Amino acid sequence: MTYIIVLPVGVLTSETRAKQITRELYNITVPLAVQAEYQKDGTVFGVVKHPDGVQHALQVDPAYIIPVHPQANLEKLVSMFPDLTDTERVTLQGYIHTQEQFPFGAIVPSTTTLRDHEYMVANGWFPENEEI
Amino acid sequence: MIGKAIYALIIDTDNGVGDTIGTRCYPMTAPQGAEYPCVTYEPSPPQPSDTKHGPSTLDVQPTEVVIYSRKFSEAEDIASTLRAMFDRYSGTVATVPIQSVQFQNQSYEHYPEIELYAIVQQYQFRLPRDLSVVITGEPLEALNLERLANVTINDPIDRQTLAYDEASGEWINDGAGSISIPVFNNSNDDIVPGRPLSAVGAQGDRISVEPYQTAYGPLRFVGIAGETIPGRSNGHATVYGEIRGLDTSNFPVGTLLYPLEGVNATFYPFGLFTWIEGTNSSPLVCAIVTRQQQNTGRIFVRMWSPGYRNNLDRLDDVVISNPYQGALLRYDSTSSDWRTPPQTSKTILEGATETVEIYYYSITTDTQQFRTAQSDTPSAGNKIVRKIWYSTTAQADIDSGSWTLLETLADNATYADLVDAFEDQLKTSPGGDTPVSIKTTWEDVTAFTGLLDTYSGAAAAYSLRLLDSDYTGSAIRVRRASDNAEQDIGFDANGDLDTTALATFCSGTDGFVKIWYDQANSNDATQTVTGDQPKIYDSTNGVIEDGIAGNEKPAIYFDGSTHVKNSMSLVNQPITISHVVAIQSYGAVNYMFDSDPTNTNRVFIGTATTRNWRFFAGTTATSTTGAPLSQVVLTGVFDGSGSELFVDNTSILSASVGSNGLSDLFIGTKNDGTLGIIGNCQELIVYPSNQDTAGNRTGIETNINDYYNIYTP
Repeated sequence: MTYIIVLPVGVLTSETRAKQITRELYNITVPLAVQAEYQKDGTVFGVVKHPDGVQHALQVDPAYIIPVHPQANLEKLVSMFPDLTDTERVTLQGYIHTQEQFPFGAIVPSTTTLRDHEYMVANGWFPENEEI
Repeated sequence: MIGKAIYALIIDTDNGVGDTIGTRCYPMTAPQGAEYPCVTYEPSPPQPSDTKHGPSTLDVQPTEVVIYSRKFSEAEDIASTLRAMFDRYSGTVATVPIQSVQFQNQSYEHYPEIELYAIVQQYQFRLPRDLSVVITGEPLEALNLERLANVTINDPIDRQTLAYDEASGEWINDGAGSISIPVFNNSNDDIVPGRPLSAVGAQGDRISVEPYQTAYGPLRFVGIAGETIPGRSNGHATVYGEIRGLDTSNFPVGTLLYPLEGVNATFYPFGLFTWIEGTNSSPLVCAIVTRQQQNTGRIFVRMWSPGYRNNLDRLDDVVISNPYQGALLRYDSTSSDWRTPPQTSKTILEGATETVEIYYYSITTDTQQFRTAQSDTPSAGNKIVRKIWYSTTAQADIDSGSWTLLETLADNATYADLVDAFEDQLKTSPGGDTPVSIKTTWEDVTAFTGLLDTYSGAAAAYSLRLLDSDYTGSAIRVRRASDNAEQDIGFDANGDLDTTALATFCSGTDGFVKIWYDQANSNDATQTVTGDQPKIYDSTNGVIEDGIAGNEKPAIYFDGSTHVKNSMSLVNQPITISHVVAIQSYGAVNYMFDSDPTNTNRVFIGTATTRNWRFFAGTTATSTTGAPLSQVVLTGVFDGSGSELFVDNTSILSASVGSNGLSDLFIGTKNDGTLGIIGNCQELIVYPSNQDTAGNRTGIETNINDYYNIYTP
């Protein structure tokens, strides 16, 4: 189990940003223009909420395969990462557009830290497993 | 006559002498002034010969051939060539048949005064006697067939044939190229010439016949009397050829004739025949009139005529009434014949003003012939299953044709339901195909009995098999990875997961469970986050399965974080949960299922860090038995101090685990989506009761085991 703690950026809270990222990842496979009704709320990764009520993290699987739709629009996704340089944004979009599918881990920014479950437990994201 | 044969042979340039001799070949002597070389020949009178049985048919005719030349060597060359040509010759030359030629001897002569050489050769020619003279002195050329003792021919005509007459022991003329068969008149009355005959039996080597009657059937029609056959006597029936001396005055030449129907006891002279174009229904054209005359009329008999001017409906097993455009023949097993069903859609084109480009219709019967309603009441313990099928083949074989299932009606659907569904299907084209043929089937089969039919009252029930005969929903909703499209997957006719539909939907990509439908209530277990959806179909290996070899069943794979969850309301203790799981690898801890993220109404079963079983309802209890890496039936009975955990129908832990109730069930992980089972799950049923003390637990587990074959009872 791997997690990405999503930091707030500008006006985007951690929760908003986490939910938008997982939503935009879904839209890569099925762009809004071609989505069926049951796909309107689709997301790829779950969002974990810290007991403090402020911090949110994405529960991700770097090996998760994301198919790329020919009409995929990546503008909103890359806008979720304002700290990326223009070059990095172009590179990211170019990579995705040239793939039929890709593992999520391939687009994780180098500045992003992946956390394991033990780290999350140790930092209060999850309670100790005293039951088991 | 032998002379012209010898002459023809010698002057024939193909025989090697003609080129040298030319036409200088003379009978007896060469003419005065003839040039050399030349040849003369002189036949002697034929000599008859005898054999042990009388005069031979061959005569012997000695012949002398003389070759003249100014050069001896030339004479020798010619003599040698002639001998090679004549000796043992056999064949017909210049219309003269030569049976054989034998060389006898050769001598030489020289005439020095005129410088001439001569070689004299003697041959014997054997010739057929009819080219000579018989020893009686009468020419054989005057003989003919009718002079032979056992041949009687009267007024032969062109193409006359001879037939052997058994009664007289003679060969007689029997009509113009006619064929007759010996028959016996089985009736007491005479049969007159021209009378059609029916076979009624056999008399020795002869067919017993009587005057033709329709009642005997057309296949017994054997021929036409070519002569008067006295009652109870032998005679002949003509099956091919001419019959003369009939009264054909009523029938112009060319009239096609067939037996007149209804002629029974009364005997008629010729006149039994009428026009083929008449109303007579006899199928047998048997003769044609070749001379129209009252006394010397003739007919030509041809028993098995081609079907010229005949029609389908003259055949015995064909019934056609009011045929219409596009009518088809259909076999009717009741009447054992082929017939055209009545037209029911004829009016479609009537009154149309448009130009019709395509006209397609299926013909149905309005006689109930193919509508045999079966019972709506199943036998005891059974159910009625009605199905609708279609075929793209016209009038497809109802038993062995290629049929595609179009619709299976709900169990115990009535005949009236079927008719409604059938007519609805006629209004739509199934699957893009044209349903040229449609049929429905009826079955009285053993009724499906699911686990929940026997052990009812579940609060929630999830399975990849049908658990309740009254449940009409699907098993799961599947998302395929390639485009995130979703589809419900139900059950097949046996109550198993419809893996065919699943494979079709997910072909070439992975499939994941978005919803595991609750077959007991409406507590569907859902996962909308695609990354957290458990897997049901693998793009490479197909449907995920678990179970012993030969009894593999579809399974859902959970990878430790994937899970589905419901929002079921609080279920208080006692609670019984039966679960079919197969752990494939151990994590630090593994939750089979969990509940209520607020930890208020929480029960779970999992494995501890020791890999032993543990269950919880406010207080944890851990077994001393390890969780195996194999498929098990796991049953937890949560009932306060009387709680108990069973694996494969064996109690492994009795303890007080608290009194928590259960809500918001998580299947596959802990209630925060972590620490889940790494392995397969196939079924999970929640009862709001203690099924152990109720005496049902063993029955429930046995039902599960009967299907999955997990443990030995």
